[in-house]
Amino acid sequence: MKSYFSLMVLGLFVPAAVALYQLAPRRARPLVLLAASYAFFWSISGKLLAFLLFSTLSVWATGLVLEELQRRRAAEMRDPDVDRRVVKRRFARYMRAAVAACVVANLGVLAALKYLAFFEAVAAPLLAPLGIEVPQGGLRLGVPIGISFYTLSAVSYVVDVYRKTSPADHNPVRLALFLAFFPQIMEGPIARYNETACSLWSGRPVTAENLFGGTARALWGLAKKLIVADRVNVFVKTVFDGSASVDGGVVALAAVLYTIQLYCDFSGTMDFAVGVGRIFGTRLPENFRQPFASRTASEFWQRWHVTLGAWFRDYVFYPVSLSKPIKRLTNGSRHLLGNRMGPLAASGVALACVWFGNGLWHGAGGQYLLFGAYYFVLIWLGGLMAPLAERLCPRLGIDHDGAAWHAWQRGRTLVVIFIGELIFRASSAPEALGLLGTLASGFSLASFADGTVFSMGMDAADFGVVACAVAVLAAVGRLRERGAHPVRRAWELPVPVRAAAMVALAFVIVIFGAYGGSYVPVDPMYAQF
Amino acid sequence: MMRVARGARRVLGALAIAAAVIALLALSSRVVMPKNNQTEFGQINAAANGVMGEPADTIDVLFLGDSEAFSSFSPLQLWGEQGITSYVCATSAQRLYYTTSLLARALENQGPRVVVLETNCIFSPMSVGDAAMRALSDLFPVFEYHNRWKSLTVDDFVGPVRATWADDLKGFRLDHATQVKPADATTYMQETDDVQRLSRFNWLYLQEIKRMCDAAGARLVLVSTPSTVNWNMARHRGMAQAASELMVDYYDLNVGDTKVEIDWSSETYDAGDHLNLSGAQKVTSAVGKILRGSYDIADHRQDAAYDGWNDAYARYRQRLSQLGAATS
Repeated sequence: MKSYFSLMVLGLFVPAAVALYQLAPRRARPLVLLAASYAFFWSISGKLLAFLLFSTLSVWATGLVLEELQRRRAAEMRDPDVDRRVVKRRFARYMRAAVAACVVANLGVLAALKYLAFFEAVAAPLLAPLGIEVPQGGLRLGVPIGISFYTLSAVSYVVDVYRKTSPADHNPVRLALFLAFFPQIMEGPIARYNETACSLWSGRPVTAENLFGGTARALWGLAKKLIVADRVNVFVKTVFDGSASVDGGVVALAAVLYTIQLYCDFSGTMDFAVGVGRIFGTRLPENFRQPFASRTASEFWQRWHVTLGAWFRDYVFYPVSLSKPIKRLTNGSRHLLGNRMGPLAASGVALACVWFGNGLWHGAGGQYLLFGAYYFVLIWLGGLMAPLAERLCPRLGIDHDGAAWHAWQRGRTLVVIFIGELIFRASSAPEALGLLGTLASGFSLASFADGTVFSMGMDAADFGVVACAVAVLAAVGRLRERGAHPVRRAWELPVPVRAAAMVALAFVIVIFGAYGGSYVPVDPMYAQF
Repeated sequence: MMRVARGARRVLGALAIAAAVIALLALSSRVVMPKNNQTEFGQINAAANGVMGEPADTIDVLFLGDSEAFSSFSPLQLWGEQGITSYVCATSAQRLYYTTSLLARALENQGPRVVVLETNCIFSPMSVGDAAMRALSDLFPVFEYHNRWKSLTVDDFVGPVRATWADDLKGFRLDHATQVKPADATTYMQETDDVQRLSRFNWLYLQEIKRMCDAAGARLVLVSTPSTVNWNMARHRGMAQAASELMVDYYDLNVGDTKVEIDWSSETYDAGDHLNLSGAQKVTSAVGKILRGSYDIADHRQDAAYDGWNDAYARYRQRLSQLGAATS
């Protein structure tokens, strides 16, 4: 069961989990869900389940410690004879130490399992001149499925308890289910405790409305994954794995197709997660909000992988921005650059932390750091240049709120996204730079003119299918942008019409899906991050 | 009363949806299925499926298995030496679920006396998901041939599904006939006490193959062809035990009385994984003697009804001559 979209998961695991959940008494349903989630985890990562258990127990215990410290602090503060500032400071120190120990332990496990080999490879040439030999190979234990996702959820829970935005959960099983819920364990969304824990624990019965609505959403995800993402994969692999010598035109096409692949793969998996979550009566947070309608790189990251962006905003950007050194830096730059540019310039430090973390979170590789640096520069410079653009537009006669300007912004942002994904897909930073070089210096449409482009794993019919699917997705996205909700409206149609629509969608997937034969099943792409 | 009526409506609705799904799958399967069993018509694994194009009830021995089988058993040599008609239904990396499908297809049109299963595929790991997908594809071929939407013609909607083509080599392959890549045979079939047992899932499929053979009146025979890469004593022991439990004959050509002496410096094309033509000729001769000696299979060489085999054999010898290979 390496993919949600395997016959085992879709045809056996999920139906069995739903049936057992529904048959169980209400109080036992969360336990059924937890057992199913651990079984799913075990089927992929086996004994590495121990690391998930460690995360669960560590954040549960830390939550209780924080709650106890908060209780004692409140008790001491009620004493009229104590200096309240001293008490506050002392308990703040204790609580910070508890949070830091837990966060370091959890991020330490993540770093040791996922990044050690990378850090060793980076450190070896740096330390070699000093005569220090760095052992290579990492821990060789393997990486548990979804560790990058559940670790962030675990950290967010501890910090939320510290901030008192979440209560400490006394029930370790509820916390375990919040972290391990199987539809989201592989690729997220990175849910917060307040969003899903209680809902998952409530053991709501499966209703016909949720069953069909959730199934329809999961089918929609399956269509994105099988019809588009897995079809495009063959072409993308051919170009990026270097098995064919290609010109800049093909590299540009591959960058566009890879972006489409990543979107359909990731958002398709999210549709599955949200759909199955709905069957169990839980609303998982959405991870995509029409990202390709963005007008700036910054906006793109508020619409793409929303829960990751929000996590970095709440647990990296704000804490760094509000830290004493950055506050001092902000005040200093305010004097130097003025009230508007000063804080913007100083926020670069917090932004750099976010994008370094974002790049590294995606993987242990130079290309991911380059990817983070790329967006850091674009977003930071974008913020700095925005006032200039605002002043320039009226002088050039450009309507800042006009459709033409918005279209230009969207087109420009699309190019930014495609280049970003080109870097992201490369196997190393030098290869990413090489591909960008080919794009810039060797751009040619010769492969399109002589038809070579159709011999790279996708023929004209495949391109036609992808074009049609993208048109449908774009149309749905456009309606959503205008505030319409086509799926919700379709759900108001009579039951036979809805059933017919679902059967038709399933049939389209059967016929136009890229599976079997020469197609190799592609594991969910974000599961590797 | 209202609740009962609503429940009945729901059940009827579910049945209607199920019926619509089945009808759609059956109809679309009919459309996308290749209209003949050739690659040009979209047939997957055409050589192995060529058995469907052989005249009914003319194949006495059916060979099944993975690439070890199509590299080792030459039906036309078997015909030339023993007058036995045979066909190799083998595909690369064949799993037992596909072996079962091919056997079922072959048995629709043929009544073989003996079914020889090459044993390498018996140890190939199988996933339940892949096996389920295979079963689904057998039931509704649209799952296997859905990609044919790209090349559909009017004939696909109105024409009959036929199988008129048979492979001239009867499933044997000459792709690497004269290539040589020597093998290191220093540890080949070294004595060990280890026993490699079949997985439970593979064992179930092997039992099903036996059941299918019994139902068709065919004898299932297990044969391990020589391979330094794929075969060893642990597998030999495991296979011997399985054959004993299944009560079928087992011949290991790697060891013991039935061992075929392969020159590993010249009779393999990929360092001991598969045999080249010279190795295959030795194996085919050995298997021919076993079939003739133990299974009393008729010699059809003088039977006018099998003239087509003599013609194919003549063409086969001509191809071997062109390859510069020994023809006897």
